[in-house]
Amino acid sequence: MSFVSFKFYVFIAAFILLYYLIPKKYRWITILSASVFFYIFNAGSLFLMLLITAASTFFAALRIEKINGITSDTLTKKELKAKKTRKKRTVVALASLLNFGFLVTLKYKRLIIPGMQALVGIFGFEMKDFSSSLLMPLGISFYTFQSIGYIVDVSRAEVKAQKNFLHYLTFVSFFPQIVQGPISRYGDLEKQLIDGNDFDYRRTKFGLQLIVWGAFKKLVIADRAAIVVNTVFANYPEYTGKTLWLGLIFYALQIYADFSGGIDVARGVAQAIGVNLEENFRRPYFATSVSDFWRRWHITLGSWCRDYVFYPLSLSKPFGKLSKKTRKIFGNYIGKQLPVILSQLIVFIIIGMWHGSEFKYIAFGLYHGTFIIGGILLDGVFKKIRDTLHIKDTNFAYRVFCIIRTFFIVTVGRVFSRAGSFLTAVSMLGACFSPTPTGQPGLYELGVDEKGMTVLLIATLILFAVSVIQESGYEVRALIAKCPLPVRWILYIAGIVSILIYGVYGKGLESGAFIYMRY
Amino acid sequence: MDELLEILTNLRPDVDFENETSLIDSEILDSFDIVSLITDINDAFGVEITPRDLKPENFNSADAIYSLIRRLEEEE
Repeated sequence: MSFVSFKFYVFIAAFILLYYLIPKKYRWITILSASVFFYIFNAGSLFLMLLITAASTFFAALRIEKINGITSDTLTKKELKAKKTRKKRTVVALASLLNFGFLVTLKYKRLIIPGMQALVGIFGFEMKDFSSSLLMPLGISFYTFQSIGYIVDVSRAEVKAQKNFLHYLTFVSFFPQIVQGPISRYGDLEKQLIDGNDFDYRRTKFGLQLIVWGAFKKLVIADRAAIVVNTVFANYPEYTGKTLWLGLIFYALQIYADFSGGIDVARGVAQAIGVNLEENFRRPYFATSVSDFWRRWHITLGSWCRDYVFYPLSLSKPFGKLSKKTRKIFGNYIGKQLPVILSQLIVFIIIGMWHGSEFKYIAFGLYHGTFIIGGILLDGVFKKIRDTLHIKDTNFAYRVFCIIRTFFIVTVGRVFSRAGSFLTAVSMLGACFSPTPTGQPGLYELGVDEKGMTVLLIATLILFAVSVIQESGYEVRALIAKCPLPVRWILYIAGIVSILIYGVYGKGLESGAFIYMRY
Repeated sequence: MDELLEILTNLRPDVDFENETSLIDSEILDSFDIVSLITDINDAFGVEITPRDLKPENFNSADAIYSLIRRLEEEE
């Protein structure tokens, strides 16, 4: 049941209606029932895997809470703190090992199983390749990250452990976010999911508008741009120069409209029942640097990595010792930056690996990590160049230059994640920078005709205009709400009709799958 | 407090730390600044700021950071 299918809209209409019809105290049961139904409908018995993750992290959190409450008359405050930290670390490590173990085994089965076969082969045994029977549970990356985040938050005493398993399961399985995020924090959602929300006309209306906007981005923009992208990437040896650049630029458009469209639908459904899910995108293509881009793109994955990987690593004792040693050799600046640089590199390798098991994803992570680390190390040099040229970093033309530069870097980096393999990506990049010979197909010969391209251009201009308004600090839906009634309804009807007429549908009116569903 | 203000000003000379009260909420300090700042504070004050102390309310102003240091000193 895709987020942009007719079935899904019938399902969420029934869900929203039921949610508000049931007494407030029991509304969380509607959420849990809908989430379990949604999961089993889409993934069948793999729901058991989600249950194992939910149960293991639920009990781990209870154990951690018990450790938090330990008191002692014999130990000093410092000794007691150290003892508790040691015990909590063991619990967090065991729960992480189990749950990340599932995730890594399933994501990396193509590497792990041949490795196991080779290993048992040394001892003269044979092992069947059972990788095809290991299926990826829907949203495993998202619910695993959320659940591990929860136990770490309990161990940091940021939230209290949930005592009711069904309440906790409502958080882990919450269906709008299970498919492709955002990756939420338990502390942000607990009350919103469990306490029950009153009906608020404006909030529900805004939620429904967000769903329509997300469907527009996915069906009118992403799935149309995808046709060009698929043509270019499937036949890349035939193309050079301009045609490949077209493929890359259309991919930048496709992946943003696809992923942010899916998140809009998720946030819209949640908002319709009064649950506020974290923002996952903040106009990423207006970023002025690669680090700024990662503060605006897939924000919840970035902030998860920052809070649970980057800070713990960069502030860890081994990294601190390393920093002190290198300060003596390379000086204060490099020594101080070393923990940041190493942690950043590890974060980007994890972000790369999170996307898949092929080497191309690690290359993708390293590519971004390199630009961010380069930015840190060369910050002083860039500042000197700006000072010499008398350029202020608030200057409009300079900001536009930075935006275009960042877009270029990010778009080139996407070759690694989209191409079939690392070597294909390298060969495509080489061909991108070669001159375009005559006989290359024109814009309208890549699968989308002139009419389709006009629709795509207009839809992209609408997306751009909305982004400019949001970047200027206005909320588009609040502006629409201030318009006279006829204008509002013209906008609503135009939005829905444009999706029905100009959306890209396959057989049986099914749309293409969301890109981030497979992660 | 003066020592802390000196560390902060060395880190980011462009910020008015005496009056700024939303260093994190307004994204004035990024995660790289935070790690550098904590390394300096740990060295100068002999405390150990850990990831569990990294809450916005502990880092939004120089006063808040100073209170955190005092709290950790008392725990030592």
